[in-house]
Amino acid sequence: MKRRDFLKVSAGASLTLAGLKLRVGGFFRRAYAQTQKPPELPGSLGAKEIPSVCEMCFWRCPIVAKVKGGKVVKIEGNPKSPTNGRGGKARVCARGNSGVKLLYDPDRVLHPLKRVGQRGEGRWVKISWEEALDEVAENLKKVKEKYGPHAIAFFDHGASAKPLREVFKALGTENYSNEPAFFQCVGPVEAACINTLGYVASGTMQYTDMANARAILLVGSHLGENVHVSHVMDFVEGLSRGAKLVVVDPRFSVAAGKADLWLPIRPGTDTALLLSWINYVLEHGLYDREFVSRYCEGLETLKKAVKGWTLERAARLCDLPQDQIEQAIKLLAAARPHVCIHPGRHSAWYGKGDVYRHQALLILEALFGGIGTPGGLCFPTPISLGRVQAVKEAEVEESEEPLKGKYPFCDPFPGSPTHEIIKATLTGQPYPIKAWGICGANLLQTIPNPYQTMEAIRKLDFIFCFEIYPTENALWSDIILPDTVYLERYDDVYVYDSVPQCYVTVRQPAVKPLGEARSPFWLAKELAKRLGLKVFRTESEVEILNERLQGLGLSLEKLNQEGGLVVLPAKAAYDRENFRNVFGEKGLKVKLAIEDFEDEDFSPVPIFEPAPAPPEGYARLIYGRVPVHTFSRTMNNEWLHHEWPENQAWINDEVAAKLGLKDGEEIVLENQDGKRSFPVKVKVTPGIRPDCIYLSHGFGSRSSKLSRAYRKGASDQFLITHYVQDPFMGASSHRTNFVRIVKGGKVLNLPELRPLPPEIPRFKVSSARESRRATRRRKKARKSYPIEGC
Amino acid sequence: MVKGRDLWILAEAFLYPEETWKEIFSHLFSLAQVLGLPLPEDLQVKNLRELQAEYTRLFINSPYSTPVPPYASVYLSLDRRLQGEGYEQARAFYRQAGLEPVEEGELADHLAYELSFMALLLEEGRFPLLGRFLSEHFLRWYPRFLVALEQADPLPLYRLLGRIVLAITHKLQEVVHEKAGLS
Repeated sequence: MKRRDFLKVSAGASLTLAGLKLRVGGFFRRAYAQTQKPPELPGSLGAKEIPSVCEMCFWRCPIVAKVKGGKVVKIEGNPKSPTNGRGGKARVCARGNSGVKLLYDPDRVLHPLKRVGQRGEGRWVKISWEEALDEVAENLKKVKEKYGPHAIAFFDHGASAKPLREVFKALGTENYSNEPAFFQCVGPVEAACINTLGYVASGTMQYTDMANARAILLVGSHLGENVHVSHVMDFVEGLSRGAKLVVVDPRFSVAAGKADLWLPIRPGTDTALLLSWINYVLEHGLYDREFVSRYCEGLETLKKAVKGWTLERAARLCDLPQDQIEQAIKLLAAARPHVCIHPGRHSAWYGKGDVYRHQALLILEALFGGIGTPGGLCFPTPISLGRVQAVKEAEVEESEEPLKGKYPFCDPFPGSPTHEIIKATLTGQPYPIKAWGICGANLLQTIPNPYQTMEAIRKLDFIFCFEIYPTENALWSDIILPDTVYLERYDDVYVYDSVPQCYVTVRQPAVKPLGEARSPFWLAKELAKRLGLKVFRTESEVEILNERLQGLGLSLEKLNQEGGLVVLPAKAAYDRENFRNVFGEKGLKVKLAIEDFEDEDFSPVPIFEPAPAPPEGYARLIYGRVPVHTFSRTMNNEWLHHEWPENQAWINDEVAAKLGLKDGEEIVLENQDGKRSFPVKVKVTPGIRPDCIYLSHGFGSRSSKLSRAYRKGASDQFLITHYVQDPFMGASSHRTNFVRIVKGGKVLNLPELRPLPPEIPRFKVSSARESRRATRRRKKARKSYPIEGC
Repeated sequence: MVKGRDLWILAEAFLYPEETWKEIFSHLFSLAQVLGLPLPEDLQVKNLRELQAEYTRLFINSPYSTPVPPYASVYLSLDRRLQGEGYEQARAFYRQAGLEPVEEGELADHLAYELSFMALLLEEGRFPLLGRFLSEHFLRWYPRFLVALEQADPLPLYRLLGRIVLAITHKLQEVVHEKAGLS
């Protein structure tokens, strides 16, 4: 409309307006009741207390939300919790405190949005929930009709995703849950646990009894830098009671700072060290004979396999002093059986060999008799929740060529390996994938090679997300649906089934959802209706919770009368005889050699497969966490940003001296595929090996719209372009990338201060150069998008 | 003289655009002329969709952030949050007037609520309260909102709307002073 036209219309404006019904007319009503608010107590005094469960990370600490005037004013730990509430002091971490800032962040998505510009451009209009749900349902139906149910994929993480997952299952896709939790994180350690011990001693949860340990071994752990409150409390309690600590890590981590012995190992050689320790323990009779003969199978196979793994051989491969390796294993063995060989958590490191590394850790623990033992690994205590009748779980029929088919040990994991989905989306093989749903996972900040992920998204017919923030996912989505923050919704019943005591608690809303945000259950229910799927037999989330709690003779009301949390004894923690494994068999059986592995042409016992070493001039990129941030989710949270605004690149002091780099100087990192980071400050330290460069994860945001986090530090994720998939279950590796330094525009090659033994191959850059050229070609052909460098 | 109807229309104009947008904005044009505000040259809007996309970009969500959240609290709280001090302040004024906001999918310190509130006070002749609302609340945040709006490089239509509101509230202050002088 032109200005002239406007003026024309305006002549009769008042008349026209008389007939207009203005929406603002209904904004206020007369309040006849009390017009004066009673005086308030200061701060959180006098607040209503709502017990719930935190979701600032995924450790799920019990919390109490303090609510005043319909608003959350403060968050504290639930004092009834035996984990983060012990000793009368209820704790939450910095992130837990900052939930208030997430809840009231004006950058939240508060209305359903629809894309109007190009995909990736970030231009939207607000639409009604009705229209949004119709769009999603219509598009999913269309894809299903044209390409079949498996052409739909759902990427999810966290509790929000659960109800929606049931809808995807009912749609019939085998790609209904592709959690980064498994395929980017805990998959390999879980596979090792299930096959060695028959239970998931480490997955989302760790059944480690560190508080009672007399010695602890941590291999590549960021415990204390990643604050899972009760896990860190267990660790600190164990140390305060005098536990000895051995830390194997190329970097002087926070845990290494507490260690009796720090072994700065050459990355990618951990299994060599573990095999030499297993051999040493067997040769010197340092194992728990009674435990091994009673509970373990495959000792002879193991013995044979590790023969020849001398400490001297490990010392050379791992670049560690032999006497210290020996001192460490003696120290651990002396504490047996009360020794905690931590099985690890994030384990998608090198792709090849990841399962063997965790298998070796579990074997060492078994040799020490530390399974089902105070101070070692403990068992979950079965807690029987009631059966849910109100939700009908669909059985999904596999496709003819299931995406997990190549990975013989992927079966226990729901969904399909993330990269198999991405590759199928890109190539249409073995079948096309044309629609993605995303909930609670920022794919571009999580999955190796974000450039490949973006290419895959371009091929889709439809993509939608259910989000709290408009992150990169939202940017690329056709429809964005506003999710609730954990303080606004019910989720599942949460059961903690480990030491020191078990408990059951529940996530429940402290306040009403802001704007038009809706709970995951509501969304799933409405979507199911539109898709004609009979999944939910109730309109109420509370009914589902009550069905679950009924198994314990509880209801939501009763639970709330008890402060929202009921404590139960951890009676099965050390009960080996009554232990039931995941296959339903009674009694502990530890497999020191795994026949199932052999049947699938893997080695039954761990073998050392060296991860290729850095090409000349490069260092391996390693990464970790900082205690006040969760993944890349919290970098823009004002309180947390204030505490820890940017990361630094840790560079070995001798390397820095040779390159003339000074502490605090700004550099850029360039990876083997020519991808460059934003400028990042150097931390010069003897606390890292010369063949590694370390970044803490989640920084260096590439979106100019993330006002606080943008360009603050360097993103490890956008330097992780090369990945290898674990052959057991399909997880994607994160530590298979290499970087060199760019200073003042000049590329500096890193000197090799630690000569490489001939058994360890080098990563070849030649193919990388080609991929660099390909990237340049792609860049030329593409328009620029709001995420820089993509 | 400022009329209640002008404020109602301004409030409506700050809501998500609907089919009525042409009538709403044409009224604003005449209002701008009355207030002596220069009309920008390029007022072209292709269609409702374009206006909705612009509204969404400015006031609802852009990738990662909302450049111009239309809520008092974002500007009046110490830490740019929703439902903070500014929200409480607005609600306290509503309470004093014996009014209760109907918050359905929206927050009561949204610019449209505050403009409607002023329209009501003006129509009911409650000048002292209107004066306090303006000086103690509205004009403490609105100018900052307007700076954010101008910085977000909005469509000229929204730039004009922003300027009209500032001009009219200043006029309103004069009216309030005048009434106070007379009483």
